[in-house]
Amino acid sequence: MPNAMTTTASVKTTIEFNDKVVRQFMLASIIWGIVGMLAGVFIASQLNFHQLNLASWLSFGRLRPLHTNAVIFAFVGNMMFAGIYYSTQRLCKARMASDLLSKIHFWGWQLIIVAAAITLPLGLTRGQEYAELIWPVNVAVALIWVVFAVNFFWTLARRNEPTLYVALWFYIATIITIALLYIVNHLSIPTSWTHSYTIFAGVQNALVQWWYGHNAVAFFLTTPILGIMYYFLPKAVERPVYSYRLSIVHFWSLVFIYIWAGPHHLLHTALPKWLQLLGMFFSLMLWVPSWGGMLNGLLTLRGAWDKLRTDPVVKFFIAAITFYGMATFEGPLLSIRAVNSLSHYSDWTIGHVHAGAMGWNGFMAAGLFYWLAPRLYGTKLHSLGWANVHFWIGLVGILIYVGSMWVSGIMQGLMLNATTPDGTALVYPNFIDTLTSIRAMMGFRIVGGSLYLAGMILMGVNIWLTIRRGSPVNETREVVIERTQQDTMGMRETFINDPVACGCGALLLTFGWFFLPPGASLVSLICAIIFVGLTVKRFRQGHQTWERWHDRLLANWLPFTVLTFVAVALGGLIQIIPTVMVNRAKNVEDRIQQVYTPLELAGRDIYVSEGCYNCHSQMIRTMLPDVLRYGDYSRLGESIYDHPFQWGSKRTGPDLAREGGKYPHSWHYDHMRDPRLISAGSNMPPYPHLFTEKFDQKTLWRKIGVMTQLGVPYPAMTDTEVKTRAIEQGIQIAKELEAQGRPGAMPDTKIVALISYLQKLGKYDVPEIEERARNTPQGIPFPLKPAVPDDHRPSTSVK
Amino acid sequence: MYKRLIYEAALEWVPYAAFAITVVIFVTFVVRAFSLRKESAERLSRAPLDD
Repeated sequence: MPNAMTTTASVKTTIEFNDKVVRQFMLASIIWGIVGMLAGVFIASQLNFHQLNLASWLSFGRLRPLHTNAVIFAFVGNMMFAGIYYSTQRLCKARMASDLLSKIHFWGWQLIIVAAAITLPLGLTRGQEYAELIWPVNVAVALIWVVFAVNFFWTLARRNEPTLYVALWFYIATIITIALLYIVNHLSIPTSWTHSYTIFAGVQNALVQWWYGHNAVAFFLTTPILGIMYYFLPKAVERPVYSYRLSIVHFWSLVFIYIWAGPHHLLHTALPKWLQLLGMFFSLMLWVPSWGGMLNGLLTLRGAWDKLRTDPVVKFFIAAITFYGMATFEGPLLSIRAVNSLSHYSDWTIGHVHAGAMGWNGFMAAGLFYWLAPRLYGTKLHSLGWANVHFWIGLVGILIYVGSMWVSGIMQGLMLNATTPDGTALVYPNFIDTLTSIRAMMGFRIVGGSLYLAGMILMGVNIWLTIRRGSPVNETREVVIERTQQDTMGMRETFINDPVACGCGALLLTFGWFFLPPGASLVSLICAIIFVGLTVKRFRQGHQTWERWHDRLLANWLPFTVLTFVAVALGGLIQIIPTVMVNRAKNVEDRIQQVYTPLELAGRDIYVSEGCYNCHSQMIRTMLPDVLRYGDYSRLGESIYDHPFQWGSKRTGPDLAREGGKYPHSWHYDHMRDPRLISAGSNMPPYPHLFTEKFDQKTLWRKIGVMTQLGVPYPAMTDTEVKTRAIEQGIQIAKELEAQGRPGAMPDTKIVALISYLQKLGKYDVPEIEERARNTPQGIPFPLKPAVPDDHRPSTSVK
Repeated sequence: MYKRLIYEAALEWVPYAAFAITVVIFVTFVVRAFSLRKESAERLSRAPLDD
């Protein structure tokens, strides 16, 4: 409890910080980090040894989301909360506003992680990367995030320090942006307690998903960690940040620019090209703020570089910031379309994200915990030597991992894209050849990951022994309360004034230029220019007071938060709104996907549930090697009814966009039972459970109802009709399987439903213009067909 | 305009728009950052060390 002492000018009070919640989050991060990385090493081993796919719930497709979610949300999430709770209290010179909210936040977050750890191996997923959790868990995440936000902003409002240090800005940006991203990307309609369909489909879904996915990296794995860097690095090296001014430029430029870069995950796809270009250009621009921030961090060590030799905390921090610089150099590089054509779908991207997650996030976490643990338990670190050993084996582990993934990705990318000198055929038409060639690199991946995991375990033991020799300490501090100095800037004063009004008018008129018909759009453009002029004029008229507007804004949390929200919302909305409004089936003049039958829809849900998207894409890019290998490039309309889209981001196996009709049912039947019977050298898991488990008939009618609600043109059907149609199609497939020498397949099993879905892939209604073009004489390359398709997976069943 | 935005490659103006937005943001905040008073910048930068 605060011990108040009144003076004539101000009030002095003693504050006891809530360090218990910091300790809890720190320990949770270490435990979940080890679990998440153990899952990572295990799935890396599965890529080499398919025998490790021991059961359906231990298969690669189900465990890979567990690994990514554990590392992102459990390891980095808990670490971020530990850092935020510790630094916010010190920077605000105030205890967290509510112990209850802190407690709810901690335990709620752990329950969410446990729920994820149970549901993901059970195959309960939304089928979108880093957004796999089912809707009840999504609701819990949103609620717990609100609890965190209320606690954080309430603390800001009660702070005993007039200014807002730059670390707090990064935390503010994290809280509001993640809320925005998470809610929009998880908008779904439930079909049961464990299943839902996203409201976005196909290209819309792809854009929103990667707006979320990319900015989860930006605002979950980067901005809060930068805040932690700006607070803990100066403390560790005992000198202020190199340039506070540079940190201002770093923050605003990062927040404004990062949000636009999401489409770089969709280069060469059916995403409209203007969006691809925006994503690429803004990614390139990100070099500047990212490197500004990195240099600001590294130069903070000026005059104290000797600490790098002696202090493991500084070692971890500086290596982490260096990895931040490397990853933020590599990210824009991979966003260049030409580079992306080589790197995308390959292990190069995997190497890139692990440089970020293990190097930047993991090493920042290690530095943070080695710094925090002795202070939170009032003792010395158990062993500095062990911390140094952790640093070196972790570093060697990352380098082996990232290096092998670079080699693997570049090698496989080059092989997949290689064409004969005349450019009409593939040099390596058999996908398996490219997979076999990178097997050695996959082995190094296990070595690197294991070394890194060993370092994490060593840290866990070191910190556990540190805890045992000390006892929990809650820091107390005497602070002076001068509340009149802070938060003097009201919302009205900040936003309701002439320049802001004119600026908003200019923005609205710019939208008019986009949306209005030709004549009116020109008028709107002219008016927008006039309003920009008015904004500048008003701005200059009020120069005396306006000059300090920004300085004051930086010390007033509410208007600052609103401005940050506007910055991140604008970039997202300008990209998303046109796509959501226009890219719909009714507006598409090109090919339109055929609607799935009830059985095919059930099969698609199985495909999603098994996590097939983790290894197979459904997007043939507008690139010659892709077209030669897989067939005609994918059109925007060909996934227009896919809730969720399944374009994928990695090809451990071949693309499946045109898989339908390529092989007989028996091929898929055998392939699912034992992939190596069909493709010698394949590392795909077998799926024996699909042959005995029944597909879901109970909620199928409800699922079709939700699809209809979302705009998929299903005819009206009763529950019985849905089931009857599904079973009738199942019987037909079972009969065809029997005719192909595979008797005994039950029409209501998952394998039959999955085969029906796979055979539907790439089926579309042919537009009139393409129908005409099909009658053109030989030699005209439309529609382009692969000269040597990806048919080199020999099967005894293929006649 | 809107249809063109959606269906055309827009190569001729998207790079300029992206560049213009970035330059405006950078210039605005560089100006604001450098107009921050020296004593304020120094005081703020020492915030983590005032524990």
